[in-house]
Amino acid sequence: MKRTLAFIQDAPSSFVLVSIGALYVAFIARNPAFIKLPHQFAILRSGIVIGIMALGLLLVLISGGIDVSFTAVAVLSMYSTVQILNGVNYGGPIVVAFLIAAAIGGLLGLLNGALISLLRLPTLIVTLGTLTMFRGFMLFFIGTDRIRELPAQMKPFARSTILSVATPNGGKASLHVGFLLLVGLALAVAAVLRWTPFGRAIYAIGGNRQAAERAGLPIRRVELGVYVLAGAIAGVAGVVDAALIRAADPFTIVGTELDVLAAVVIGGAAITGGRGGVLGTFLGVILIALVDSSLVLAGIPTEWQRLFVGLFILAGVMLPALRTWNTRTDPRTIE
Amino acid sequence: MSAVLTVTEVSRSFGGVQALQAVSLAVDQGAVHCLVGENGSGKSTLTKIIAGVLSADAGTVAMAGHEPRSGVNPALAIREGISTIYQDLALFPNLTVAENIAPGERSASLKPHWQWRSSAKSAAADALEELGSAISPTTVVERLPTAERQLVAIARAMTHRPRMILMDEPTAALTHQEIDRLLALVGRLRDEHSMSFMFISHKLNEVLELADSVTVLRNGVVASEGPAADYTIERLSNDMTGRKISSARPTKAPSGREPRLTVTGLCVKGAVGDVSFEAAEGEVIGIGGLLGSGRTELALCLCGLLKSSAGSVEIDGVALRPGHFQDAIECGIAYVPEDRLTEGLFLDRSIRDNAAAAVASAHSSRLGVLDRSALHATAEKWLGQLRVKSADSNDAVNTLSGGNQQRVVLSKWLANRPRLLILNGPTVGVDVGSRHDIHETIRRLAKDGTTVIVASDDLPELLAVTHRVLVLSSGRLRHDLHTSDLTVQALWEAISADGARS
Amino acid sequence: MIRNALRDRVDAHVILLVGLLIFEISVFSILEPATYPTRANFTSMTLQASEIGLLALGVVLTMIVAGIDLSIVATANVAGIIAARTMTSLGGSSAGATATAIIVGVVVALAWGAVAGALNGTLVVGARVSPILVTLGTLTLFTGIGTAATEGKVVFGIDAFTWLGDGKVVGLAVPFLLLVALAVLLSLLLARTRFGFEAYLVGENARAAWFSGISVRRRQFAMYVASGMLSAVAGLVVLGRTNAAQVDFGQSFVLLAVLVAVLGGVNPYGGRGSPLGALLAVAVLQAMSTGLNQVLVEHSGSNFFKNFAWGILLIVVLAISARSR
Repeated sequence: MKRTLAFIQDAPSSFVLVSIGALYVAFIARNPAFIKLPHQFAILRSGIVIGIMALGLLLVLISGGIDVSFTAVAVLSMYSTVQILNGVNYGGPIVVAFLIAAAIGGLLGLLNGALISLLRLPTLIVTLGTLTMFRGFMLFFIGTDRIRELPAQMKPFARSTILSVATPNGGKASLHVGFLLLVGLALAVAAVLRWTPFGRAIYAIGGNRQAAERAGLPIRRVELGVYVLAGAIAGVAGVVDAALIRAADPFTIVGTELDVLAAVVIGGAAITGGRGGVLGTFLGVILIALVDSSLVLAGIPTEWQRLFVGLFILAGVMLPALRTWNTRTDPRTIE
Repeated sequence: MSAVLTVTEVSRSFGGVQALQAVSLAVDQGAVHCLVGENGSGKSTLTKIIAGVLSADAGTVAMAGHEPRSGVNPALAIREGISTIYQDLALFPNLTVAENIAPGERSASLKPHWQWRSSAKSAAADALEELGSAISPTTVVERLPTAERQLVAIARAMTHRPRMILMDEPTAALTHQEIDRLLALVGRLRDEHSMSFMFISHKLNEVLELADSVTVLRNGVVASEGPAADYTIERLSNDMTGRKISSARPTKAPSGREPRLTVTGLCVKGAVGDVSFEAAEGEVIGIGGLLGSGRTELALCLCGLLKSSAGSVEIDGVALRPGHFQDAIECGIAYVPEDRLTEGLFLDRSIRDNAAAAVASAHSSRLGVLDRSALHATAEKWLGQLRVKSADSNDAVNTLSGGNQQRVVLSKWLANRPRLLILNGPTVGVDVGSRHDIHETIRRLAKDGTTVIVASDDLPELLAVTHRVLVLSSGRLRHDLHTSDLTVQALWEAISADGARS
Repeated sequence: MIRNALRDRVDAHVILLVGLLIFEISVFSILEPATYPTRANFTSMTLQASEIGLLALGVVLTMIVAGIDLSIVATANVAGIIAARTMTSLGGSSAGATATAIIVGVVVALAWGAVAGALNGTLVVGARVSPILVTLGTLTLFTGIGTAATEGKVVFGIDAFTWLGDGKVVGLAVPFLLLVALAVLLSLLLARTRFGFEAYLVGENARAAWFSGISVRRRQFAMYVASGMLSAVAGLVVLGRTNAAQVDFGQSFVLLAVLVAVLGGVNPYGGRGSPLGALLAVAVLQAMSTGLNQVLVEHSGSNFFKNFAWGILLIVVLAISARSR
């Protein structure tokens, strides 16, 4: 009982839940067709890639850093994986594609992590640099063509669904299997964060770096691990994206950094580190996906969407500030 | 009895400041050893070196049965059996009690470990039970009151199965009852588990109540050491301060002058309650009290840096708006903060810019154009008055020694020619020569008519520069003592007796 | 010696940048003797550098007080849209009416920049939210405002205003002169006024600045407002050059502006940096971009190689200056 109470108090997700609920009510009121499964599946589908990347970013934020290079990592990993597999005419199981992409992503993440601990500069600046670097590298050295011919086993994956429902007008609404992957990864990340010493070390470092140092935690190794993991997760997201759009497009994903960051922050992760969880992030992703894909359905013109997303982000980041409002007068709390 | 910890000839300096010089001490198995010293005497530096979070320039630290060491390796220190409880407790506020306790249990290992979570919880529960505490292991630490957080820190230390626990100012933030409980616990662990403790404190009555042996540090060297039975409060305070109760005494208190500062019923939420006093032109008033007595809060509140919840502060008959530092500055108040490094200095900037930081407005035209040469001239003038020793005032201020840095902070405010100067811990971590000069400056300012308030826990300092000392405890004004007929011991008793009763 | 650490570091950094610039110009002049070291090429480089340079000035100012402004491009685009709309709706047939339209358009755009900056400043300084998050949020918000106002379409300006984009004064492009003038003016402001003196102190150690009686929040707030107005100037320059404004113009410029600021020697943790350093950095960047474009002219993706090179340049310069610390 005590635990449930603590959970509810801790849940930064109440803002997100209320927002999601309010949006649903508003959407249904404007267009009752909204609640039908095809729309719901479309919302979930549009959240898959953002959601996977959000999991990686969540790890980085909890550890007290920020990463904006993950979109470039995702595309670079995906695009080179497809090139490699096509090059050797690979026809085996798709899991190999995920493994290769994760490995490439992990390596790029390692580079991020190494630069960050080497340069001791704000992680935002370093990852802004690697974002441009990774993207430029891919587009110049690897290619700029949209590859329509994916490796053999990615096609069936692209077509697989978890469940399909026939719609009254003879069509079919289906939920892509990638959603299962998102849920699986989310559970895995949650398990790492919750049940492993590594996961708790990430929280510890983000919560009180000095204390972590004094407790003898290997800070650099943990940080490096976080960036490698975030890179690998981004690699997986890249491959899923290729499967969803049924092509390897080097110009996809980049540009969605903000949406992902917004999802994670709205979901309760603190940019100062130490706070955030998978559940909140998941809800944040749903909220962003809902706003991104459904405002039109509710009769809000496309051109107003960004405005709403911006308002949601600002509202989301203002919330934690309200908590510390009353401590602001003591000069000793100025940073 | 055999020594658990042996510290041999440890030295360490920071920039130009020698924080520790060839310090040696030994802690016996199953004994409580107290390390005593004023602020800036090197206690914290020594603690950090023993805990392995700071390296020694020379000398070694050795746990019985292990190689002597001198480098940075907190995990090694923990493995050798030293658990450290820092003054700030070094807890993770965002984690649960169990998770805070567990990193100690498996400190540097990240190996995945099945059922880690439940084993952490039971280990935490066991550790807390051993301490006789009923804190739930699943509570998030930031929701706990200070005393309970401290128990969590102790429980964490216990899970290492340490041979020695190092506690840095463990009682600073506790109430008297909580202190009693803590001391009882320490005694029990010593007697039942033959555990050793190293206790760092400046509450002398506590030290004598608990300690088996004592080491007194002064200015980075061991001033005296021996069994606790050989010490009295008087001897401790003398050894700490080095009988530096100088022959220099403040000039006679001015009489018959108009009050410059009138404080009436001043309250700060949670810190200061109903304080009233007056200070005349040219008078130096000390504010004494233990850590947490409201000393710093009163000083901050007088100049509007903290907002008062009730009462008034008047300067020459003009009431200050509560919480408006800028107004206070315009009325001629200056505040020299407690923590030089984070509150007083811009470390990477030049000495000159630091000294000029508070007077830029006085040296700029109505359009805001700065007269740099005039600004620099003012800065140089005050740097000269305070005899700041530097090759070039264009050097970064972090190249200076602590004493010279403190003079720079003082120059910054004296350049504003204040009518009321408030100093918080003006000579913390400062060498003897600078200390003398700073005291001399305070006396001179007073003679020229400035009213000075000195908040300090350095009793000889209060006696050397003030005319009156206001003693605070629990935020209330307990005594208003005239310095002329006061001894260090009498002042100690006034301050710490009240602390014990609170 | 740590002596004169401050001055030595700035000097070392300036020397590094000047060296880099000379190196780039020599290498590309040898590789492309016909096209690189020419007056026409120089003029075109100065023109291209101006927009990023103006945006970078805003980033420099906010970084000096230990903040950052990522909403610069969105602010600039909205400013361009507002100015274009105002000018076309006021623009009449007579010269007088056109002049009025331009003046009103510019004033309105600058006012927008000030409002946008004030919003950033209020949220960062008043609500104490991380400047990264605030300005990412307002970036989205401003883009949203621009999209809502234009439906994402291109908005055209009036011909008379193109002077700001492609006019020349004594052979130099007007936008470039504007950039240099503003960089010099801001450098003077920072070096010679009470405001500048105190702003650096705020960036170095906000708490010590507070204890020194400096109005920390006002200094920080002012920098965000200034950054918004500089972005508006950049938006006006883009409008002048292309005679058009669009909400998704130049999104990669955010990164470039941050790159220029940091390359120019601004400390992202606050307290150090100068608009003139950013001017030098933008020259280094432009000399490299143009050179690479010319060398790689047969390759399809020379633009992308530029991106790669920018990233490397940023990391290398950061590594060098991190080492010298």
